[in-house]
Amino acid sequence: MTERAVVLPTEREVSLVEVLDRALGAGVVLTGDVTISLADVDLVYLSLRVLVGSVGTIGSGSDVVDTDALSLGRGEP
Amino acid sequence: MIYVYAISEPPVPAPALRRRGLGGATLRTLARDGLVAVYSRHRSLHPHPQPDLVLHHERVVEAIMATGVVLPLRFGTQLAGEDRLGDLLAARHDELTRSLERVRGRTELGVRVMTMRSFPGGEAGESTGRDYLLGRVRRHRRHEEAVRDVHAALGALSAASCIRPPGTAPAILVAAYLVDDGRVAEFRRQADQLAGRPPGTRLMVTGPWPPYSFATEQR
Repeated sequence: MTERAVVLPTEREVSLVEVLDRALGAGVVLTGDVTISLADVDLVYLSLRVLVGSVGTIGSGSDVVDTDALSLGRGEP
Repeated sequence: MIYVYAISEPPVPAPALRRRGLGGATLRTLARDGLVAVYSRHRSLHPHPQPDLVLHHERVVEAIMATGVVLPLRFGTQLAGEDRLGDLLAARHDELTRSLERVRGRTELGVRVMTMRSFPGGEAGESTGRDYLLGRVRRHRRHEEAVRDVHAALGALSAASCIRPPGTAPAILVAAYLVDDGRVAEFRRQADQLAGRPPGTRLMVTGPWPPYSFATEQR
């Protein structure tokens, strides 16, 4: 049985995830009538992939980060 | 329509307000009974959680954090106007004041422990399905113990801590710690010592963050 190596996200990518996770999922909720739908939150994690791709932190070829690893809080296998 | 970024205490130093809000709007403050809210005015605003908007929100909050105590608001808080904001500050006064005191002089740090080996992978010598499954249970238990040890050791250096839902596939611990400013260096040293326990894992400390994870009273 072979071992599957996991390419870990870089510190910068982890920081991005940590920011989004906090700003969208924690912090003071001042009033109950402010809600961001789950669909919206899903969207932000989708667009994060685009962002991460655009900030040039991802290597090329086989070094490409497993972007599934960045979809924090969603679709945990 | 207004968009609110954070709660702090008056006066908010000018440098924190020099930055622009969402859409380039001017940052304003509304003070009420020892609390102050930082907000911006907008003709229309649809704060959909795109990463760039969320990061913009974050930068405003971090600018306030750089000059004093701050309670970050969750992204997306828009209100009809200043009257509504003032009413909310009054209605939530005691709770918000307690929260400001709780985070004063403290810093939120994030810790993420990730495995460098995906769970389905087996180790050398696991030639049968049974060996593999037993190995997998063993690895899982080892990770659970390691995570408990890490969280206990770092929690002991913190004023408060919480485990956050592990969403990232390879993460076996996602946690936040509220650390006295004077103990941050000690916390980082301790985290360095815990890194790599057990073998095949990596520990990352992130932050300092605005205290999102400790901005509300914990149940």
